[in-house]
Amino acid sequence: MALFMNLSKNKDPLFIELGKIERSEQMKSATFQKLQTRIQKKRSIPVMPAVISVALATVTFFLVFSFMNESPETAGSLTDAEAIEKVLNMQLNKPEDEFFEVVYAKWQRMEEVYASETEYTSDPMEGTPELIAYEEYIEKNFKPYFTTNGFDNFKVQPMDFHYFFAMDNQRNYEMELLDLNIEQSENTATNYSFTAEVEYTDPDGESNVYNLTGRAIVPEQGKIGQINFTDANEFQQKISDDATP
Amino acid sequence: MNQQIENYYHEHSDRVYRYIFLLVRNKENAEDLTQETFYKAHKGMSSFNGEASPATWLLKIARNVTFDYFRKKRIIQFFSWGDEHDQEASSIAPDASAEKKEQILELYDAINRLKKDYRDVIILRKIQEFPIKDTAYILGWTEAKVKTKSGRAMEALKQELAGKDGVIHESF
Repeated sequence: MALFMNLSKNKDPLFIELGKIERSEQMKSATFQKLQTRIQKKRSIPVMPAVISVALATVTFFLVFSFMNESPETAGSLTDAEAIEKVLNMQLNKPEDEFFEVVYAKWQRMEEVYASETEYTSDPMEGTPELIAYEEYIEKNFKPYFTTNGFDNFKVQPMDFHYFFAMDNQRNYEMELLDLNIEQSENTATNYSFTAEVEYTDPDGESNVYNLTGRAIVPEQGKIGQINFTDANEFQQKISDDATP
Repeated sequence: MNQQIENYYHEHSDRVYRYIFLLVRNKENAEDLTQETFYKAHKGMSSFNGEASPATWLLKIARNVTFDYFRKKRIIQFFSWGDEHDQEASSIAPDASAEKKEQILELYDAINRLKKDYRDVIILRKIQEFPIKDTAYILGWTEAKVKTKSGRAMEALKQELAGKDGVIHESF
């Protein structure tokens, strides 16, 4: 069928027609009702009868006490593959705005702190609100998926592990994890290999798909001990180059 | 319920729904994500400082909500236009003639074969008719990038349509 249209015009009638999507009044009002219920439910919590609140507090206390000897994150009990997927989704998708704000604030502070030629006897960044905020962010987002040692190692990995770090001073790019396959080793149950397909669109709008391979060791259920990539296509180099002013 | 959100819902929910529908191609999911959009708007109302119009602000939330949904579901490739979506196709341009509707669906199908950035900018600029400034706000791009991407997206769309028909007929 021939498609009659003039794409050079700003307002092609076909585009306008395409925007006309029917929505039934019935569904519209049903959605409104659900929204209303959801908002009111949220509000009703503070006026819950005191006896229920006390009961909930007791149960909460009991649960917290029961888990005191375990890491709090174990309550989530993710599978190994889910933990790997969570971490890779955070690393290989463009981060949320909060991430950029936290990292950029830390970098700005580092520039100020290290600008003077004073000889330091301890790290001058230590204890700064920016570094604390950064560490809290990383801890909040990544720690639940690592063993204690695994997280300590992860935090101090060289920058090239954290693909998005190179872009901390600009947000004008896109990065999206298109596909991810995780496979458990047949010989060693704690070992996993994965392939990740990532679309990266540079600040000029040019897109490329990069294929990364990697391995993870998960010694405890849902807790990663180690995770590495092989960057055969120099993806990291590309985003570092783009981030260079 | 907050009166302001209620007003926004009545004024803008159709536009939000249509935008989401174009991305997810499913009535039920579009309704659910519309609800999620207004719920998030309700929660974030105090941070809305009027830097954009309410409609633009809501569309930005809708886009984030929809792409969060895709990430969670890991639906990265948009659906191909198959029999299972014929029912959803009935929602698009319900009053158009059969011939016109076929053209509209063909255009929609071509848009959905484009890469994500191009789809995003065409849906907002051409279908939803947002100005460059508002499109930039919704997508988190610079205005220059919106202009560049719009041009490239339209070129890509022409090629997509030409690939299907062999020729693009610019008859009017």
